[in-house]
Amino acid sequence: MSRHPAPDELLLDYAAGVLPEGPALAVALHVALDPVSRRVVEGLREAGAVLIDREPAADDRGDAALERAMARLEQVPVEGPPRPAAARAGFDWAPAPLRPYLAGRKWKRVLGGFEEIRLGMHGGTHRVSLLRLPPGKGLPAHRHVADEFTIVLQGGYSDNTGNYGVGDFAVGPGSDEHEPVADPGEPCIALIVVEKPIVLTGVWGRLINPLARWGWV
Amino acid sequence: MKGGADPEVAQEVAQEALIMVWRKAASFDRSRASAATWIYTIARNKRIDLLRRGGKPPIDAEDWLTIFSPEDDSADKSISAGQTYTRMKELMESLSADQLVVIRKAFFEDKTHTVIAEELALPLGTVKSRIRLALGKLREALEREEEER
Repeated sequence: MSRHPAPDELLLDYAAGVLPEGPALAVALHVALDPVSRRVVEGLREAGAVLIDREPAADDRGDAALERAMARLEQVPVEGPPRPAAARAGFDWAPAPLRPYLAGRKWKRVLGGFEEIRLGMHGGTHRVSLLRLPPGKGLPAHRHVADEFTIVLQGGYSDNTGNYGVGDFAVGPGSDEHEPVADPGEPCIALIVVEKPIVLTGVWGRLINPLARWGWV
Repeated sequence: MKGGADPEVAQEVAQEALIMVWRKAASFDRSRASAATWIYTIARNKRIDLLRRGGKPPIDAEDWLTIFSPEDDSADKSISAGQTYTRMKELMESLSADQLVVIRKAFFEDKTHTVIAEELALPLGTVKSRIRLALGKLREALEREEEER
């Protein structure tokens, strides 16, 4: 069990399928690694089914559509059981929901002593990256102007809010400054999801604050 | 399916979902979810897929199934989904109206807790505490289930 589970409201949003892709991926990875949160999400999905079963049927306009769909089924092949996406060499720490995003991806060195893989998302609302931090290495102290979720996938890190290990889900400390430092041992690998801030445009904005692209100030 | 879709869209979603259920029948795992839950998940993903088609590249609904399904290897399969369904039915009947309305809006109106708070003109903290009370009861119900195993 994680010492830092995802907050209940995010587990509900995730179970109902209403989260944008980035936050949904963060909660999916937490749920993959945390049996207690997984049980809660499974319970919530059953609860969703209960609510649907309690709804009266709307009307019978669907009958003709149902008949058409049934007629189409004759042409639809039935598939075998699914094969889970295989773990790739060098990415054996990645839980199943992350694997489809990693095809052909490589770590890139970033100014500041850490490595990054930026992940493409369908919606434009969040910036999603994997970060890899060598043991004992820290990120620059920063504050957030928007929501930030962090899910630890390997190793661990500590900041003024506590210590986070594999499967832990951290919600950004908001306007308080924090300075995460990777724990000794393995490099710390984490998925970071940041709500995209209003970007300062123009050369001055970029010069003043290169960290603004992370939603840091 | 609710969620503000017009009847044509709802029918298309239902048809596409039925076809997906047929194609994917071999993937259905009774120990992981009840049939109603599984079919609901497929229908919901189909709807997300359909809504996103407007001007955006289509998402293969199966990608979304991957995103939403947790790691399979370590799943606890000792409790049947049928038992959980019964527990959750009792739970839904025991929730207060305030708690139930938030859960219903998430599932039926596709709204995040933030949007629900705006819509009900409630402070975000109030909506969060309603969700936490409801999920606290849910955890208790799941714990009782494990004890009775």
